[in-house]
This record gives sequence, C-alpha cells and structure tokens, in this order.
Amino acid sequence: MEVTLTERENATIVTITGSVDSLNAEQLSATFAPPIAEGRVRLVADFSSVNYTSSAGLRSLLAAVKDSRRGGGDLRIAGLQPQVERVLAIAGFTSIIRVFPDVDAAVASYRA
Amino acid sequence: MAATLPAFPPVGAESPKVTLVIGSGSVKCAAALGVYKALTDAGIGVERVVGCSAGAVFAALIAFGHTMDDARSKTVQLWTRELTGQRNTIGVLRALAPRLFGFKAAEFSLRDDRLLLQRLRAGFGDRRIEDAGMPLHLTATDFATGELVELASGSLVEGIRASLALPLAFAPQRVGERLLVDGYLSDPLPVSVAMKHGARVIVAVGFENPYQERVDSAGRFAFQLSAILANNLLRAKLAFHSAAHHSEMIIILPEFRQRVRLFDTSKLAYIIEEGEQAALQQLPYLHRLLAEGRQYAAA
Amino acid sequence: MRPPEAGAPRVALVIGAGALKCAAAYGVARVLQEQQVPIARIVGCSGGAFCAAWLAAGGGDAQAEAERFAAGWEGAFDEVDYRAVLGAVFPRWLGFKPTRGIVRDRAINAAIAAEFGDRRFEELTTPLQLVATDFETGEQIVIASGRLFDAIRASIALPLILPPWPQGGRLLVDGAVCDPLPVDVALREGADIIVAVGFESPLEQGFHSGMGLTRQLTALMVNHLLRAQYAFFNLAHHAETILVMPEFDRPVGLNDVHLVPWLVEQGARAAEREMPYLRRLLETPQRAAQMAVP
Repeated sequence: MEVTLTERENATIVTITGSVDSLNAEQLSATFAPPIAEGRVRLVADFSSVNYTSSAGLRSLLAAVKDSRRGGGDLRIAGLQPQVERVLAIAGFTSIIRVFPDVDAAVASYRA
Repeated sequence: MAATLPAFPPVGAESPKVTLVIGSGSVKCAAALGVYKALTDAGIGVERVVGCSAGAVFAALIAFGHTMDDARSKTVQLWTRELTGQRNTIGVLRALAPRLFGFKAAEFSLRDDRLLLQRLRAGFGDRRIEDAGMPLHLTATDFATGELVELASGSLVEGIRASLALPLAFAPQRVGERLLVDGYLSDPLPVSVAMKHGARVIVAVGFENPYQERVDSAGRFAFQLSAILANNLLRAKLAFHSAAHHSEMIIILPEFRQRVRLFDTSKLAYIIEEGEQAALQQLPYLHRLLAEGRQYAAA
Repeated sequence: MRPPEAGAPRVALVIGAGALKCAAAYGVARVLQEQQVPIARIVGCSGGAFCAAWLAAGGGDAQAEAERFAAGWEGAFDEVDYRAVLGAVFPRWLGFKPTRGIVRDRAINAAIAAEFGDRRFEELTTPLQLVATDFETGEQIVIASGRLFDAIRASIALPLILPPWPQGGRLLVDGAVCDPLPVDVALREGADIIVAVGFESPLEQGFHSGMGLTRQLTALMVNHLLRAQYAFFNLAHHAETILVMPEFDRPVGLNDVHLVPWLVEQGARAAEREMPYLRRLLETPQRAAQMAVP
C-alpha cells in the first residue's frame, strides 16, 4: 500500500493505492495523524486505486474518521471501486461516512 | 507488488488455522464447500466451524470430515423442494381461522417436518455434535426470548433441525428446556460465536437474501419484508463485530450471477465453484496474514 | 427549539420507530425545551417522524401536541381492509397488489394532513431528515425536502398494516425495516452530541394467529436490528451518544391511545435521567478540549 498527501485550498487529499488491511493499518494511521494534529481536518480519502479492504483495515480508517471529526472536521471518501464499495456497505461504513464518486465532488462538499 | 510468499505445506497439525463461519442461505450455503476446498488446497486448516440455518448442514459435513463427493451426494439427497412441499393442513387452517381450529404458537407450522427429519437421520444418523473432528457450533434462536442460542453438544440431527426451524414453515424444535427456531432471526452470520471462542482469523461465508422480482402475493410480500430485515441485520452485525473486535475477518459474500432458487441442487457444481472462486480472491491477503502471524509466533 | 451557538457542541436529536410508544418522545421534547437544549438537527423514523417534524417546525406545547397525536392515532388503525385480508389468503382470486395494506389509510392520512397541512421541509426552523425504506431494493431513503406530509406518510408505512407510499418513482415503507433508530444519518450529516430516543418492542407470548406470529417475528428482527446498528453507530461516533430508551412495563398496542399521557410521562422521566450528564457535556466547549491535546 502507498499513501500520498496533497493539499487543496480547503481540503487535504489522502490518496491510497493498493490494499487497506491489517498489514498496513499502522502505516495508514501514521499518514493521517500529522494533518489532523495540525488542524487540517477536512480530509478526503481517494479510494480510486484501492482494490481491497479488510475489517482490520477499516478499523484504522474509522479511527481517522473519528479523529478528524473530534477536530471539528470530517473524512469523506471518493472514488470507491465496486467490489470495495460493497465491502464498505456491508461493514456499515457507507451509512456513517459520506461517499462521493470522485475527489472533486468530495472536496466541493466541504464548501457547501 | 509484494514478493510471492512460499506456499504452505499440505494441511497438518502445524498448519495455520482459521475459524469458518457459514451463515444462512439455503442451498447457496454449499458454496462453503468450495471455500473449504480453496483453503485446504492452499494449506490453510480449519480449526472450528460455526453454522447457522442451512449453513449448519454444511458446517456439519465439513466438521465430520466428509469428502467433497460425499458432501455433494448428501446435499442432493437432503435438500429438495419436497422438504417444504408437504402442507400441514391443520396448520394452514389454523392460520386462516385461528379461533376455530385452535392456535398454539409453539406447535405452529405450515409444513410437515417428517420428511426433513427422515432425511437428516439418513444423512447424519445418531451422531452427536461434540463428536465432530473439530469443534462444531450450530446456532438457533430462543423462541421465547429471541436470543441467539449456540449448540456445541447434543444430537446433531436435533441441532440442525433447530437451526433450520424456519418460522411458519416448520414448528419450533424443542432442545432440552428451550424451544428453538431458525438461527437467522437472531444473527444470519454469527461471527460473534467464533469471536467468543477466541478465533483470531475468521473466514465468514454469508449470503444476502435476493429480493423478489414481483411482489404479487402476501407470501411474496412477507418474503420481501423478511429479506430486507435479514440483510440489514446481517450487515449491522458484521459492521459491529468488524469494528469492535481485534480478530481479522475475511468476509466472503458470494454473488451468484445465475439465479439460484432455494432448492436448486441441480446447480450444486456451480454453487460450489462460486464459493471456491470467491475464496481464491481472498487467498493472497489471507496467505500473507497467516504467514505474518507465524513469523511473530516463531519469534 | 433554541438554535445552537457557534463553537458549542452540535446536538442532534434522533427519534426512532416505536408505533404508539413514540408518544413518549413528546415527554422527551418537553424536557429538552424546558432545559433549553439547543438542537442543531433532527432525524425521525416511522412513528418518531411525527414528533421530529413537529419539533423541527418550532415545537411548542408538548403536552397538547401529544394529545393531538393521540387523537389522530385513535381509530386510525381500526379500519381493517377485509378485501386486503382475503386477498392475502387467496391472492389469485382477488388480485393482490403490494400497494394495498391491511388497514385503510384514510384516517391516518387525515391525521397527518390536519397536523402538517402543506408545510414543506424548506420552511422548517431546524434541519430535519426523515427515514423510509425502498420496498423493492431495501435501501434506506432519507427525505429532507418536499412536503412533510409525504415524508411522514412514507416513514410510517407499517408493512402489512398500512399501504406503502409511492414517492419519487419508489415504493416507500416503514423506515424501521432498514434503520429503526437512524443515528447514522446524524453521524453522516455531522453532529457532536447525539440524543437518540429509541423504543424496543417487547415480545409478547399471547399472539393468536399466523398474522400475529408474523408481526412478532418482524418485531423480534427489528429489535435485533436496532441493537446491532446502535452498537455499531455508537462505536463509530467520535463523541457521545445518549440513548433515551423509556422502559415500558406493559405492552403498548397500536390502539392503546388511552396510554398516551402515561407514555409522555415515561418519556419525560427517561429524559430527566439523562439531563445531568447532557448538561455537563453541553457546558464543555468542544474545540477548546481538542486544542488542549499535545
């Protein structure tokens, strides 16, 4: 799994490539921590290159959602691939997190 | 792309092991046989099986070490439309005019269960749950309290009959002091049972209820309602346990492109193949996960 | 309801399904209004949609409103549609259509119209979302625009009792079938403190027919669904969820309208139990607490 951060005018994009699972959960949490600590709490997780998620991986994602909300912000998801979207729906994530078809839509939602 | 790890040796005492949970899903639960095959072929052992509703049948077949061919022939013998074909005439009359014919919820069923029991006995004899080759747990629902009930000992036939006691189809099954009905009512995919017994890696094979093509009768309306509720309950339970527990869960929810009706044993080969394919997709991660676990254990 | 102040924790009120038991929500509302708790958002489902919409429109005399709720409810479920009952048993003979429920909806429609007229979501003082279920796909449908009448009628379309409500190209039924206590909607839309008013259906043993058994099994599954979903939503929420679940020591049927004053009192008592903690949470500034973290 690879993670990169990109700053936009009013949101921070976290682009994830590969698999979100127990083997890289720590790496994922470590990536979210600095922007949240610095108060950059309007996050968009770009999932367009994520091909797999496991329950442990989703737990670390959930922790980032809660941390960003505690900081007065949010974490929104963009670009889910169909099989990954299905897993997130079954694991209840799509009911508690806002999901968008692409990064631009997710970023725009912070302006609304 | 991570380097390919060396394959596990054939399943033996030292093999990495998972707990297999098979949820409700009628004949589609046979896909679990395909999942089991994929795991075994990859050198991954199963140390415990949990089965709910029709999943109890396949959990029993796996736990008692039946070969794939044997399991398939037992399935075909057991699971035909005749099981729910025999109307319990008194039951139907009681539903229509309860005061006239006397309604007793505890005995209420629209179908006669003699054929089901006969076939279960033919398939499983008088085996006991605790005699299986690996720990076996069947789940049912307490008719009085609605709570999930776990059966880890006792008559196998009685346990499966209880797990399968679909309300309005079959009467509740008395086991000991309790009246039990279908496990899916309390939890269609009971991973909580696996977690309670200390499972660290769980392979959960579940089935969402298909929705009705046409809702044009009260029966279909009731089925649709039941399907929506069961699917939502399945997801809610998975969501909670997934988020709350430290164990890693591989969720396999096979989607069948061909429509599979409740008793389509003619499609058995297709169902098992779908299960195997769905499991194969999870194997790369599962293999890495188990290999990683072994590294830590060895340290 | 008092609008929230900037920087204060955002409170969302969620009123879930519970048929006539939802009258207790008026008791909860009475306490929240008396205590001047600022509500930033309201979510309603099924029977809870009535109180949710009333509060979002400005609230007022909770006691009087509970009585109007009771008066509207009274007899609304008395008219059994016998054609529909027979149609259920002999479908081909009478031509069953899923838009037909067992009870005719004339009375309940009149009750909703009397209370909400032609008012629309856009006119409300507090943001409101009502939850229904798409009967063909099982999806959760959140309604936040259009006429309140349509949304409430859809949310409360109890299956096999009231006809489903066609809306926006979908056939909508009771929100309880997908999400009886929709805390997730509050989570998605953004909230700090969530006050969730929920009701469980006690399991009766005395049902006397196949229909009664079916309703019992449905109630059982909705209870399980509520608990499992609540457990997850609670775990997933970054801040506090306060569950206000009045306990009833007796069964409350659809027609037990005489119990409404007692229900309101039970709701008020349940809310009062939570007030000390809620008060402390409201007095803790959210942002300041985060800044303090090193």
